[in-house]
Amino acid sequence: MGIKGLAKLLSDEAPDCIREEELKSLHGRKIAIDASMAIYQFLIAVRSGGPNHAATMLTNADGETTSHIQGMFNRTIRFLTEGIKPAYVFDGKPPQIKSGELQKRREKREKAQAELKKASEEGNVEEQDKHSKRLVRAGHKENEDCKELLRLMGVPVILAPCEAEAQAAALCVEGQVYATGTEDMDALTFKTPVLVRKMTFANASKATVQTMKYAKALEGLGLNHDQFVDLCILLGCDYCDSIKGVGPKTALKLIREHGNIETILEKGLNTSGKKKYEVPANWTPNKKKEDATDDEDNDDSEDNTPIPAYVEARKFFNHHEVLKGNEVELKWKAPQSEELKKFLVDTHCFNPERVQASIEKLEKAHKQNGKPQSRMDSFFTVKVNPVSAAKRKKKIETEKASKKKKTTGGRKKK
Amino acid sequence: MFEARLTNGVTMKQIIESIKDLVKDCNLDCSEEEISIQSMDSAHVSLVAVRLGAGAFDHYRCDRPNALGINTANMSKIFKMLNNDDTVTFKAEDEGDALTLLFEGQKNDTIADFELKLMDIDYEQLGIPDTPYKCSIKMPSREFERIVRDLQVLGDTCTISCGKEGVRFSVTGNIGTGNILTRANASAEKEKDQVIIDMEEPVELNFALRYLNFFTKATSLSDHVMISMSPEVPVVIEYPIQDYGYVKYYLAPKIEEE
Repeated sequence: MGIKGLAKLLSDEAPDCIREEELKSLHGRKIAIDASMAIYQFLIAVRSGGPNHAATMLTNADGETTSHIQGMFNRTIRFLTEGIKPAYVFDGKPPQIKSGELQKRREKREKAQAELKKASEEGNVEEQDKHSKRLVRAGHKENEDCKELLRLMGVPVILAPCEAEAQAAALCVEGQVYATGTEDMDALTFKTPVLVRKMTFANASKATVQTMKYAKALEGLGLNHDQFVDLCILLGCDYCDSIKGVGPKTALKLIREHGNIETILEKGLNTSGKKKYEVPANWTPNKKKEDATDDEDNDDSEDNTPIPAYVEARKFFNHHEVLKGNEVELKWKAPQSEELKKFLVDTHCFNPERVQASIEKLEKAHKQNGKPQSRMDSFFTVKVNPVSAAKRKKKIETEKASKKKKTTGGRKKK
Repeated sequence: MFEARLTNGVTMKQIIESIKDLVKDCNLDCSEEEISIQSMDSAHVSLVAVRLGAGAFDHYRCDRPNALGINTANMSKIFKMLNNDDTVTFKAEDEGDALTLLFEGQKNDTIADFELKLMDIDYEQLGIPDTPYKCSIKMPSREFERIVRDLQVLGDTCTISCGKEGVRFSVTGNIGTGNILTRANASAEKEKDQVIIDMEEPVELNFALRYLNFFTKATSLSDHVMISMSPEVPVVIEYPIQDYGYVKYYLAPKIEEE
């Protein structure tokens, strides 16, 4: 999922773009949340079980899983109570280009299935647990359940034509929402200005989230957008294979040095002399095969893609199929309490008292959001405080920055 | 090197008390002319701006601008040990990681010194435009404190409307409604009882009482409070500190959505 090692690379190379913030600080913001990611999280995390038998998912009387409903319900209420307006974006059809990745996932799942069988025969609870989590799959039914739930709660649901995180990022770029909420790092590759992660609130008292800013990430890495996309492809994305032997550090170095993948393939790898890199077969179309990278490539490669896979992936990142802002309805409506109760209690066997309490919270939150508290930063714009900014970066730069402060003047801004 | 000696040390104690419920960590920005603080609360709804000019100190030296990151709760703990007539001296090295505080008593010869660890605070400062307001109200700070405290019983949102007859504070809650009208009386005998309203056009805005209540923690700093409002922008609630500084609170209004 996402971009391999990007989070780590950013925290090393561009620490300025990452911030831990209190959930509160997002109040009043609209956030487009990747629903599929959330559903997966719930299916894995919301479980019941004792120490002696493997944890199982919550189910209703018919044995249908309800973990995701429970999780989605509670988290959404939490958002609304904090004054945050969530909009959930669901995945559309999987893109053609992702089929390789999906195939891999399928294989992993089959493996886990076999392991689970073995573990339950042996009675190894820990292993059983591990593998049953790997088997989790958010299918059509889970998605439909959540859509129904959100509709009853009055929260907007957006059906992306393709990938959810791309759709969320597009809304964010257009300014329809403030941020994209997903764990998936490729939201940044899709250019979302702000990415919000770690919205799990496992610890109820201290709710913090992690925000990442696209502009600051690029600044910190010293790359432009095209270079950043190429970097993500080198790190490893869902849409094509990456070069074996190129890790995060090397990838960044290569991009900084050569600017794009084409030049890297031409110069960067061959001049290294060690030939330890293995370029995926479908990265080099036939006509190029002989001259550019003949040593890395197997001649018996049956893949005859006319366009190299990384170019496809790049195109995919930059021209993704999304709905425009005016094709999406972002309206937070009053919850339909009676139907909601029916849905949760009658269909999915939730505890009526708890549901009642939650619905009251939901109604209260909706009422409050009808007269929303505005945010300070919507009136006053952020200006860089040269002193503290410089202090944080390098102490040597302090002097220069303070001079700058004097010339740019005090706190008055016309 | 930063060094400042404040004879009236209790002023600093009151400043810290007036912001500590709102702001957890903040920078004391020291420059040649002043010590200032700017910070938003964690929900980014309100902003506090403090200024204490060099003139407030009987000795003030700041070689180069410095941002001293403090935790207000810890600072407050230290100031708990200050007697009301003590003198406070602040000292910090340019590249240091601690702020030294020196408390000197007037009557006896006790000297207490404390070292408060500093931290790096990543705060995005906001630029506040210096615009004229449509309404400004000057009223006794105790009176404002009482109104805010009383109205909290009824609800959580307060409508402040400034019109010809005076300033009206109204609350509507589950148990009922309440209105408090304060009329202008510029001719009151004692200066500190005066209510002066300077109005260009009527303004009505809604605010969260919870925040207004935090602001009244600054009441002891000043006899008067100045409330300035314009339509659809944050209110400013200013507590002047004699002639050499202020504590200003900005609060974003609640907005009626159609």
